Amino acid sequence: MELHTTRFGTITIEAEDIITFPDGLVGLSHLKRFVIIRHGDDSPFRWLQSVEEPGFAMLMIDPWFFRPDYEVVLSDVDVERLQLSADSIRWVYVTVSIPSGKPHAMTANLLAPIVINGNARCGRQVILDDERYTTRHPILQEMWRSVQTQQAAG
Amino acid sequence: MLVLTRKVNQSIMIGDDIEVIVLEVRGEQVRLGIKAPREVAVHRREIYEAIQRENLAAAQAQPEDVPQPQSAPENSSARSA
Repeated sequence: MELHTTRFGTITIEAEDIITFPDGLVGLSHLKRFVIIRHGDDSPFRWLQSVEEPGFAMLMIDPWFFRPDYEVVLSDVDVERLQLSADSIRWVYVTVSIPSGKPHAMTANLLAPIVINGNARCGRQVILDDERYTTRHPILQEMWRSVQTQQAAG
Repeated sequence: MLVLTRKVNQSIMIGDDIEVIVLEVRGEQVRLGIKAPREVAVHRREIYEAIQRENLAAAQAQPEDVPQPQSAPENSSARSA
């Protein structure tokens, strides 16, 4: 099927690409169906594109790309709402905000990751009970450091 | 807005299955206990609002704003070497 988006034009998606968030996003409970769009082949960034609102796409990143010790502890309710079982494929992303004209001030929300059950095609924005994490974690320096480490290793 | 006066260990019911109990009052701080069904999300308002704000901010990003790690100035020489 075709999906019209403001940022990416009209894209072709399959029905199974759609990920349903039964409770929507935090503060945006009306948005329930999304597809994940890769930013680029080598990029850790993804877009969570709304199926319902063409103009709504949240920038996300793989948190372990810049924070290898990041931990996501799910509550019983999270596990239940995500229909997770021991062998479910889990994807985790965190949202990224880039202040206008100041990419160096980019931050990630480590407190409320987006968790997806890849088998059941459902997702949830969970709120962690972990004092190490904030909603505005500066990531750019850690990101470059991670890239340099990978390049040094490669 | 409905305003109710409660003492410590007294509670209010919201509908049939949500109960808010005053556990302790100490100066300007009030400790509340909340009994609610598992599917009802209960969060401090400022955390909920901060997450909502970040979600909206993340949805303001445009593809051209997103940095490409491989094109970072401090990495370009290392990469071509």
